[in-house]
Amino acid sequence: MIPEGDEGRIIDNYAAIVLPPGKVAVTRTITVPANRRWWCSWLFYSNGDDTTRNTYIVVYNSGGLILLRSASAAITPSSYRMWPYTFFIQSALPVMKWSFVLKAGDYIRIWIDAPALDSSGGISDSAVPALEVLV
Amino acid sequence: MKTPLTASEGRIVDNFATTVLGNNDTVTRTITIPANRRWWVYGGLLFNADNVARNITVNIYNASAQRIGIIFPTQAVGAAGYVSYPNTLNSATQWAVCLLALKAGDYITITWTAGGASAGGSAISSCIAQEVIV
Repeated sequence: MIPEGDEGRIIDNYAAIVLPPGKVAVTRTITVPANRRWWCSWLFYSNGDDTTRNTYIVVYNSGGLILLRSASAAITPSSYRMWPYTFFIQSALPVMKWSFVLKAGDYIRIWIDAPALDSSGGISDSAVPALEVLV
Repeated sequence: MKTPLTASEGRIVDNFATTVLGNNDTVTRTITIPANRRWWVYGGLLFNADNVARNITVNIYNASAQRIGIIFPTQAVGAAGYVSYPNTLNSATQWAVCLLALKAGDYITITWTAGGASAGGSAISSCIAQEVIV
């Protein structure tokens, strides 16, 4: 069942991601709660470090199996990325209303690789705006 | 089966407005989603009314002023130039329609960055969305 435009509630799943100094890999995991369904609109990530970071997105089901995986993107300091990504769309915006739909227990993980060089660390923004409905 | 956001649902808002650009200044227009409303944003038009090129950026923030998206990355727009957002890398005038779900309190900022000494002018912008009551 596809929700109507005024159904459920919009959540943005915003969180700051702390990037420690040095060569440290970081992940952020966002899990769909029980009895919920998410219609994700997009995913946003910015690199708050002073060093380029390779970053990619993986979507898993509750059993840890990979459902979706983005290509790794080298994101320069103070730059950002929006997924889903297409080379044809400026700033990599989603071109469809629903980028992906997830069920309770599925989770999204933002993988931020360790930088090749020691970095100062920093704070990154991340968000996954989605329409959440009860099921 | 229900259809996603039926064409007859809610109302269309275009948020068209003029924004005064002065000499070598940076100006930001803010568009906020009203209380008890939800916007499905398609994008819009940006016009640089100045006589020098200016960088324009369109960001999305939540009600806590945390940036949750960038709908139009910083891009140079020539004097008296138009662009649509979001657009494609192939053509800045080719509209790449998206549909972004924004909630009450979220806001969109359109920033015309200073481009050097200039005459200024009345810039225009729009943000086309389907607004529904929630």
